[in-house]
Amino acid sequence: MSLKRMNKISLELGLSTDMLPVFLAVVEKSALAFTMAEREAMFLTLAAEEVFTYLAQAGTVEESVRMVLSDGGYYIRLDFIFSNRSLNLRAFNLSNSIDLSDENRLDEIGLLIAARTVDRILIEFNKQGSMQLSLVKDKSYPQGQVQAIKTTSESAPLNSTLHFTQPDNNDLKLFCQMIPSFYSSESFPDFFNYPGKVVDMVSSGEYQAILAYDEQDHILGGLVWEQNIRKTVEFYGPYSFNDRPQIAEGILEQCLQELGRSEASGIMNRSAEKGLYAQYFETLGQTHLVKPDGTVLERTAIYRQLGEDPGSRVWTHPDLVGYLETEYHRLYLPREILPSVSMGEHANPFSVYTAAFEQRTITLRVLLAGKDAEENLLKHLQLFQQENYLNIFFELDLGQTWQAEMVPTLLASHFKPCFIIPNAGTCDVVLFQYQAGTGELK
Amino acid sequence: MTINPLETLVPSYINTFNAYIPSKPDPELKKLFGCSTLYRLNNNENPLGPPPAVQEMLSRFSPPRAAIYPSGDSYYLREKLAEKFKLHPDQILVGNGANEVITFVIKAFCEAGDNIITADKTFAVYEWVAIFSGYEARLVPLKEFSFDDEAMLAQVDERSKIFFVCNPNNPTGTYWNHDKLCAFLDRVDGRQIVVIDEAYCEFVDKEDFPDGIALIDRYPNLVIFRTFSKMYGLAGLRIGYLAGSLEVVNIIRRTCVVYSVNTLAQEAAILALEDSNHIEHTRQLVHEEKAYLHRELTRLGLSFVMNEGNYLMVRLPMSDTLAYRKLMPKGVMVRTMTGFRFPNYIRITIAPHEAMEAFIRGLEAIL
Repeated sequence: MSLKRMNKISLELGLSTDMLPVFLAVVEKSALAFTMAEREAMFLTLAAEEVFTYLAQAGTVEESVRMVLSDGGYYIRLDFIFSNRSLNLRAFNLSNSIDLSDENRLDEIGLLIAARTVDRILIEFNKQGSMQLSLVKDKSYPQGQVQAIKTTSESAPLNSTLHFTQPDNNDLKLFCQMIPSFYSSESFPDFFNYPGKVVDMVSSGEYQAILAYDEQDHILGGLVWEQNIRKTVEFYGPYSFNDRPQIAEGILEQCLQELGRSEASGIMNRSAEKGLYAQYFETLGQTHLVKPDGTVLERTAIYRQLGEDPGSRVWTHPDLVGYLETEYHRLYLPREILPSVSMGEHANPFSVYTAAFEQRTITLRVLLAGKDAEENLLKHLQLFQQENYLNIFFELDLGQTWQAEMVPTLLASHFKPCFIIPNAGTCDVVLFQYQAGTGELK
Repeated sequence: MTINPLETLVPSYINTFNAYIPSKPDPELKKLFGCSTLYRLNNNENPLGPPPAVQEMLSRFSPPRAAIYPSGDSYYLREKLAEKFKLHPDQILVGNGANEVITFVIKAFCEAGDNIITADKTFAVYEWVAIFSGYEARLVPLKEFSFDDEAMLAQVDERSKIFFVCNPNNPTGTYWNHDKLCAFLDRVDGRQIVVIDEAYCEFVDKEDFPDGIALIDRYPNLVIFRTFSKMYGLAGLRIGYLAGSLEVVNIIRRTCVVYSVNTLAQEAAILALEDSNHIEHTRQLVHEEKAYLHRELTRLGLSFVMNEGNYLMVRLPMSDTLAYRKLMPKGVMVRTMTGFRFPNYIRITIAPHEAMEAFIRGLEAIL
């Protein structure tokens, strides 16, 4: 269950543009050595150049920055670790645009370019006074072919013995290509369309897979889950290619046994069939996925803890207390709900949101709350609607006291809470869905 | 400025290891779950407490003695144990609970690249100590809830150093009988250390249950763990021990942290060994309440695993962790078993009838 050792290259350079050619050469050559395609390597290098240049312009030559380039298998991550000082994170907002006549903001253009050329941006503030800015660029993979694979219903008679095990790469790719033959595209995440990517995800140690086999080693189903990423891990499946209920149950049992002594505290699936696997999971709540034809698909999120709940404190705005009390009572989760409201203290002028894309859904999270939170959120919503994204979610971390001030903004912006995800952040997370994007639920 | 992240100092096997978080103290749990009483059925403690003579000794312990170091190697207790088991005192090492002696053995025999072999669904500490010490733990699936001797032997390679067998097994209560244990030791033929953890042996009254300590002369590679935390009711004082051949124990002693066992624990353990009535009373309680639970769980239509030891496992038609959260407000604390790789099972410690009734009432209410 340990995270496999990834190749890492680190270097520490003075914050001077004189060092830029050295740094860029390392990034580009390393990305190619980590099997990233030339096009993606070029984008990553471009983003790296913009961030380094911004830091060099904002810092002094006496300062240094530590950079770590990691091969995550299916992605490359570039961390910049530097002393904590004013870095205008506003540029990382997806909705950001810069007026070229505004000289005060010209230096942010580089960060804007960087934000647009990578897939994910992560920012961490270290208590020791340093800050880590991470750029993540995914590798590209060819799409799998949905092969005319013979259905396996006849290959697993009721009296045959099943076994459940971690697959080799070929079986894993075959499993990925079988899923679309049995399930609609809304029922599985997009990465299953790229079998090579799934192999690299599992090889990286960030994901794990269990497949079910019959006595002749036909693949009867399987399940993939993430691990070592968050305390509450998400799983995808079980996908069963046969009517025998023992297949899905056996896969789930095996998965739970694998995770039983792991660092994970819970396991969830955001897209389960209602009522299925009730003996293993609790229902968190529902979301509503608007399909391109306007019809609405209800999705049920299921969850279970892997250990005994130790109880915890959560922080929220008074406007959300009633909802939390009701939900925590329903879920039998012992929580002390504490109020967190602004009392006139200094607030950031600007807010920063990050957006994660998955098929037709977007999930927003807040990196920095600020005075322009509502206006900035509105800009994001307008941008997503222009791009015809209909399913917009927001994850609010109840363990981060400062996020509580987002509650009035979210409620005023037509976001409604869908459910609580226990221990999905620093503590529990509330998932909100933007109501104007839910078809007939308006 | 030079930035040196902490993670560069930490071995990779520590970076990926998760700390075990014990449950909170009773007052905190009662406040958290809103219950006025709490039956702790989660740790397999003896509900009768320590033997009466030990309780009396604890009540008259002179406070100034707390300023004096204890015997560094539990001198008198080792003499007492040696007399009881007909061993030399140097064949015994006492630790701060059996958990500590697990660490002694692994440190004594393993180095980088080595592995230990145990079961996947057993007491977790063998596996944990191996992993956070940087060694591989080879986990063999149980066979019909019991340690699988053949599969364990099949896992051996030239870097295998120690077998850990929990006998009877926690949490399934199954055991290897005398013949099976001897056959296993014969097959190992001294090539590895074989640890038999007999933490619950005093609860077993079956004739074919092996006395591991009596086999040490015949098998010098055999190490036996025992504890005062279960039958003897001294869990709060933390004291356990190992016994083995002089040759093996002399090696383990090199990794043994002396002075780790306090004075109260040593003196309480000596007195506890003298009280055989306490074992009989406890066995009687366990026997009667197991019979009660057998009837009630059958009536409720639940399947359960009830073998040796002062515990049993119940399979629930719901998540064990949800059952825990639902039972806690009713004042019943059980052990969830997903962490033992038994999803949807809970483990119950046998306790006085009042607690067992509260458990059954709680279970009926949540099902």
